Amino acid sequence: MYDLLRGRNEGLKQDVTGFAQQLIRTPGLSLHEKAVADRVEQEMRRVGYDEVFRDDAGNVVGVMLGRGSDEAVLLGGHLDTVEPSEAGPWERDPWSGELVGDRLFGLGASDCKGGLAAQIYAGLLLKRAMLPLRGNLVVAATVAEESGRSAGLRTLLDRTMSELSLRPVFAVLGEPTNLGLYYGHNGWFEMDIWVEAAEQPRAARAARVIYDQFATAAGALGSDEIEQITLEEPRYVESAQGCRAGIRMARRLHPSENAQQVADQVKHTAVLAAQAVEPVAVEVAICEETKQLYNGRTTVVRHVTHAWETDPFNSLLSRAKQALEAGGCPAQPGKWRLGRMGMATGGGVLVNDFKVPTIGYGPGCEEAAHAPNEFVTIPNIHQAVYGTALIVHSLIGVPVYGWTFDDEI
Amino acid sequence: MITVVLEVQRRALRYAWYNGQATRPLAAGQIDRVAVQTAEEATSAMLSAVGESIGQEQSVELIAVRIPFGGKLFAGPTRVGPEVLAKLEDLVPHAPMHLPATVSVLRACLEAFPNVPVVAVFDTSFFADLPNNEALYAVDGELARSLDLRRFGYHGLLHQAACASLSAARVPESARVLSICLEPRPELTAVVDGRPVMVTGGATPLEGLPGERLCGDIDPGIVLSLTQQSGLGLEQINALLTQESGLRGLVGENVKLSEVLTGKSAESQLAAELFKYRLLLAAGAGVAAMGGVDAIVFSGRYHACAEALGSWLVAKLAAACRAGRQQPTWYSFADPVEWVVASQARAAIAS
Repeated sequence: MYDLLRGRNEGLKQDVTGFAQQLIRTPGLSLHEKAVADRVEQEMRRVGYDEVFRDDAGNVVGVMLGRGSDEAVLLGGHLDTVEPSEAGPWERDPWSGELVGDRLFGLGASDCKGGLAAQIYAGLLLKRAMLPLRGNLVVAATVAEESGRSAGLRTLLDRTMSELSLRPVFAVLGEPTNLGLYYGHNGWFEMDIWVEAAEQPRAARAARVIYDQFATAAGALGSDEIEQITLEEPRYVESAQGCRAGIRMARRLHPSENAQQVADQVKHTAVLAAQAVEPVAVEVAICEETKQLYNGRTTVVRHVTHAWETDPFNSLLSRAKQALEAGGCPAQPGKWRLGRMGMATGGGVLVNDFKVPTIGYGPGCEEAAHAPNEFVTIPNIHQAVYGTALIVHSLIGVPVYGWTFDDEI
Repeated sequence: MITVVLEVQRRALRYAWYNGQATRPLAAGQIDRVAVQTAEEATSAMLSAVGESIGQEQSVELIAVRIPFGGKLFAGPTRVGPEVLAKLEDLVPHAPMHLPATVSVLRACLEAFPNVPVVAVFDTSFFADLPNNEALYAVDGELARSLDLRRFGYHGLLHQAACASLSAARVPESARVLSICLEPRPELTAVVDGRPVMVTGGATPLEGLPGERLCGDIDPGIVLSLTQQSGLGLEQINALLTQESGLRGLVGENVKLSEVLTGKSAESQLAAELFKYRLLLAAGAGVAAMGGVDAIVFSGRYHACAEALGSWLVAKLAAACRAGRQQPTWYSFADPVEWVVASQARAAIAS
């Protein structure tokens, strides 16, 4: 089977490279993914997915039907990218899709257009190799991952898949793992600490004390590599009672933590700090806002990504690892580090909210994501196509135990 | 009458075509599966090549497709139509690497040649009626039925043709024959009155004689301990037993059966000794199942190795039998399987 898949993968290398390049050249800033969604839909139809459609959120979904089981493996990659300016100064055109040596440069190359291309082609590889599936393969290119806290993925799981009677039993994210098998990451959330007083100077004094308290804590907790707390300078607005000072704070969430509980703790600390200098009212609110998706629909986005982890003893991780090793591409388990606040994956939605065991397996590098001159290597994309096909086959493929071809040697 | 024979292999769609009863193909070739996108495309390319080669004067009158597995559903060559395709689809889980591509080829042939009979010729048909004591495993009956656990042979076409060829050597049809197919997955079957009564193959081709890369018979406890002690998963164990074992496992690198039987290195000699020993045990089992043996016939791509094995095996079996009993004679069957497929398909259409 492995020789068969490797052989067929050889025939796909040029196409998947070109497709990844086209995805990068097609801008898909978060909440503005229409053009790249069009290109993905076109490619899924071209390569012969059994069903291709868009759901209410504008996600592009391709399905390869299995032999009757309602079980599905979900391959998830997101269409959108951050703004290039978020990533710092670029030395190249972020949408050039420039190929230099074996590196393909461009915004979203690692996060996660390279991974999305590999996932779409993994389905094609299984189809070309004619390896039958028991369950269904669903490849979803989702919207609003970067700026919408995975609003597209949430719609996919909440409505789209259930309406189609597709039951995701496992999910594989094409996010950057450098071909490692990742099974979780810490979360983060954003909150506003509001200080209200009759006069602006009182609000300002209290806000400064609160700011200094958390800034000290941030300095003690943070490191150059992993941010733990980020703070914005206080801002002021008029209110019915006089003046409000707002401090926006982002804080990392660890696996045992809940955003609301942490917000309550922050409020307690802020109240104690403020009331030592001024008699002010203090409130803490988790940030949320209404976002408009590219198809015009709106969604309320809470700025919370909870930490998530798939049990490392879950059969998903062991089966994926075994399949990759059997196919000659061993993969180390690990977790995303997510050094900068604001980075995340849809794993929290899948694991915490929908109880779908999830891993990450993608060709990109985490270090290259959300960074200037983002790139993905072409050999990694090619191996991700093969490796993803191996993982999918181990989960929902018809076993090939005992069979070989007679022309093996 | 032009008969086209097709076979799906891992790398290629192989084809050959025969004129009338000729035993040699007019031409043969293959379409690289990697170079084309689908089985339909490969079939189309192949049929174009055939069309160009045979020219305007002649036309394809029969297409015979070799199929590695037909289960109990197909006890002989079968003309393909929608019902047959549906049955083959149902059998896909039994041969998942081979049947989907083969079914696609069959569909493409039916579409391209709607007026030409397409006949499926199965490697397993010869074993569809194995006696129960040979076919069944001593496991829970309900389990065996639900999973269709049953022994087959996987080189039935060559065994059948090799046994039939013995009539030319005046071996009676009622003879007790050991048929030994020397392929990368070697197989031995014991045949009485033209029907197999014992075979080394199993529920999958993994059981039986060690192959070039297949382990052959192995204690199931080893498989269990591989999961427990080595922590290997199903795919890893399957890869180990089907890709890295057998002669390769013993020699330490990919090696052909013919090379092992003539090799001089210590590893090759060990592998050759082990293979011959397993072959002898299987032959002994076949003789026991038949109550004796009258002839031995070798076939397959390595049939020339009969020179190295035939006399040796006869002597070994004779030594194990009663003194004074007539020794069996060994023969070699050299015809390629494609011709066997063509002749079976022609016979099926003629009947």
